[in-house]
Amino acid sequence: MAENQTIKADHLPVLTWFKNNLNEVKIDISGDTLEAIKGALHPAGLIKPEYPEGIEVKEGVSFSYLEELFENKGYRIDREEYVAGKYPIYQEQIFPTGMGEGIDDLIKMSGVPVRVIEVKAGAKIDKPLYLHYIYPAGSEDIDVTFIHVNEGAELSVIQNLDSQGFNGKGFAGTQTRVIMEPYSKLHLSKVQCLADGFSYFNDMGCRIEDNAEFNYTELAIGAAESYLGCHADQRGYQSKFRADIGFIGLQGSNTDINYTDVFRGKKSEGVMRFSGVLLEDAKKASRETLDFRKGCTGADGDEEENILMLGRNVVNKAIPLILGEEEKVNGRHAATSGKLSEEMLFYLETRGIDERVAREMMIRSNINRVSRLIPNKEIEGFVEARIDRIFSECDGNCRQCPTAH
Amino acid sequence: MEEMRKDTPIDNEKGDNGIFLNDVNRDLYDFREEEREEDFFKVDEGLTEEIVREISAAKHDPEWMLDFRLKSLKTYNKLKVPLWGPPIDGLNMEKIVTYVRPKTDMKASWDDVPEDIKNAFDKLGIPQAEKEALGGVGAQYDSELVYHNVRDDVAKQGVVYTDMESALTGEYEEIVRKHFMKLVPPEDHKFAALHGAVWSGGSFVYVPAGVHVDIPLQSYFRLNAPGAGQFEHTLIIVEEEGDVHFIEGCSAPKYNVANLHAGCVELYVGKNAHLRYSTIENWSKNMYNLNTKRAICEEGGIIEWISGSFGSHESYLYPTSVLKGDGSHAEFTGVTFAGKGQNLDTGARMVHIGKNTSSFIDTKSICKSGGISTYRSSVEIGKNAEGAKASVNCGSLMLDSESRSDTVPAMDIRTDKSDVGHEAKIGRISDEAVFYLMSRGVSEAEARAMIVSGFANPVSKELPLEYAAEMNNLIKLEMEMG
Repeated sequence: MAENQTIKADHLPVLTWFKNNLNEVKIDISGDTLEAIKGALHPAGLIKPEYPEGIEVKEGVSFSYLEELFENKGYRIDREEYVAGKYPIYQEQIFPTGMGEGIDDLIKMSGVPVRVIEVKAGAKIDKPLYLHYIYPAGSEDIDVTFIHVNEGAELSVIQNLDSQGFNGKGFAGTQTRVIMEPYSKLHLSKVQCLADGFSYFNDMGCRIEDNAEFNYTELAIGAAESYLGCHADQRGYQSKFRADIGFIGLQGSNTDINYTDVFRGKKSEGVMRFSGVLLEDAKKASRETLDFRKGCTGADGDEEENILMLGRNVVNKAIPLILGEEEKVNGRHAATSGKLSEEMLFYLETRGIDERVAREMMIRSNINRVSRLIPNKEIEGFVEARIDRIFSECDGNCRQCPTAH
Repeated sequence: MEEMRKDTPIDNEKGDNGIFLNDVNRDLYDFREEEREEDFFKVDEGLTEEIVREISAAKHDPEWMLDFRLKSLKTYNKLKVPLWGPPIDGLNMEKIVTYVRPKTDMKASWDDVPEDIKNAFDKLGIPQAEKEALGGVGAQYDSELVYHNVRDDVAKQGVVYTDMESALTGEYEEIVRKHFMKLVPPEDHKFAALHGAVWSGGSFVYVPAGVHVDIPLQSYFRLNAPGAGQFEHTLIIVEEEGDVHFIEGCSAPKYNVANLHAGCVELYVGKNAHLRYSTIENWSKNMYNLNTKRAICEEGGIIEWISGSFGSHESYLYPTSVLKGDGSHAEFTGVTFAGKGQNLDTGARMVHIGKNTSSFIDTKSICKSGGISTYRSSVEIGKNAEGAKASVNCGSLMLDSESRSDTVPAMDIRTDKSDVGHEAKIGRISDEAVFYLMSRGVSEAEARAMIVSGFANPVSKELPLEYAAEMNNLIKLEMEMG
């Protein structure tokens, strides 16, 4: 019988006041869950995908093999280079991810194998690779993927975790590491439509070489607990990273986010956009970091967060960091947080749109901004179904209901 | 964690003995008056119960204050050094002298102040500023005030402006007892506890209800003794509808041993009252500035912080505004300039408790020649703070790639009936702007200095003219150095 575990994850790159409770998050994982993951036949929830030509896939690779691979490729970076500035951090990884070493430990502890996807140099793959995981209530699984996009290759990948229902508990986690070789392009979409009682984590790490372009779209619209981490290492000259994140914090849910974009390459460009809706007593904590390292001259980083708060007891925490040790850069951050604008509601009402419909429109537009970036119509359907449910189950007492005012 | 911190290299210039050295010429502030042993009373280095008792006895504390000091010392010994800010391992409390008193009473005339001390304040322009633009002045030299005076017309309004010791032992004792370290309790952090144990000097200001003080009051703090600490306490109470502007300035000569400043400022802003608190901090670059400032506003009260941080080796400074009353408002406008060997961690904290409260933070950070500037803040909107509005705007300007600039702003929002906006930018001086100015006959160095002054303008324009000029001089001085 495995012991219960508490993992520390989503570390802020630099520490701040402990009273803010934003330096890290603790995730409790029961011994039963660990046992279930250990005992599962992996990949447990994945519907057998159709792999297009130009892709080589190996299932069942050990995590230690992956670590050796990174070590042999010389990816290990000095602590001085790893640590943001001169500040202490808790842990280090050979290949950093947003959630950190704790997730690597969890994967090693549970013995989950890795799927390695090799995209051949120069391959231009038009049809998105769709990895669809079905996790009905009671599922407990972790899925680990390493994607190596070789020079000049282009690909779109969608990872969709779906419970095919709204009720039930479970545990689902994914970790994905990506290496973008020069001049390659990847659009990776991760979608979480799990049942309301699930615990979920999505840990992401990527390394982007010269002139490579990585677009990352993440949508989290289910689950009771969601932990989302991403670490982008823009090593390459003129490398590009764009992340669009959309989430709905359901009643009683907790969303914890840690995104870091590290600029090392000259003229590298990074954009991160967060759109979220918090309902009722949903809690959210987000850490969003633009980290300009010495030598990234001409780098440009832009980050924005817009949170719609629709509940009397919501908790919205954010800490958008800009760390700079290079003079010739431009970094911007903007955040807004609040309720639906009364002016907007009034305007829509004057056009015959009642308050309830107007509120629904605003929620949909916030999430659809992200969902429409995912090249799959089925996903849009999942999103619509989720939002429909929020409104159909509404008992007239929650904040989004006009009758409650 | 401690281990990691210890072996993390710090980009500061240090001598062989690990003591910070700075050879930059800052004669305007760095002059020193050599102190003769016989003219000063001081306690031993370090921090023990005996030393705390000695300080209390020397200051003729009432019994409750001695108890308070001893309790604070216990708290200090229990609390850990903060891990999140600039490393302060160069500060050895065993080597700090916590109390140094010139052997003179506080005077109400500059002519009565001992010559060497008067000379120091003359060089800093304090008596002249008093004549020209101030309603009252307090001047602290090391651990005690040596001069305090308030203009007759201000005193006639019922305004009390005196040193903390007189307030503590005189007719205002009960008011002091009611307010002293209630906003900043010693348990708050290690250096608040240290302050509670060894505080000395500082000012007490009481503005009665409805009284508007038209000209600013000022306290100036000079720490002259090497290896000493200054722990002044400033307590300001502005009653309902009152209005006052308080200015504090601070400086010290440079030494090759660490000095410590762990002052504490507590501001009570009554209903519909207004308090502006301006600081030009220019401690020498061997100073650890671990200062705590906090204000609480009642209904409709307004607190405005204006802050210029130029000096110190390392700084932890985050004035906090607690918006307790409905409709209260806080503003923080600050500029921080971190030059060679400086690691300045500054910012603000806004706590919204009452309904329809509002806060605005506007800061500018500049770093140069290896300086590290960190903007750190927290905007907290409580569950019952419906109608709260908060806006944060922070800009960072890096003048070279040896330096480092970080912004670490946190937000914690617990009601949907609030609007919070945050904007941050980091960048460099635009080549186009420098080129434009140079094409108009301005040298490159002057052009860069002009652009930096313009960047800091939101702060300087909020200061009285004389202080704005001083701030611009400091920017110019910093730009010329390194």
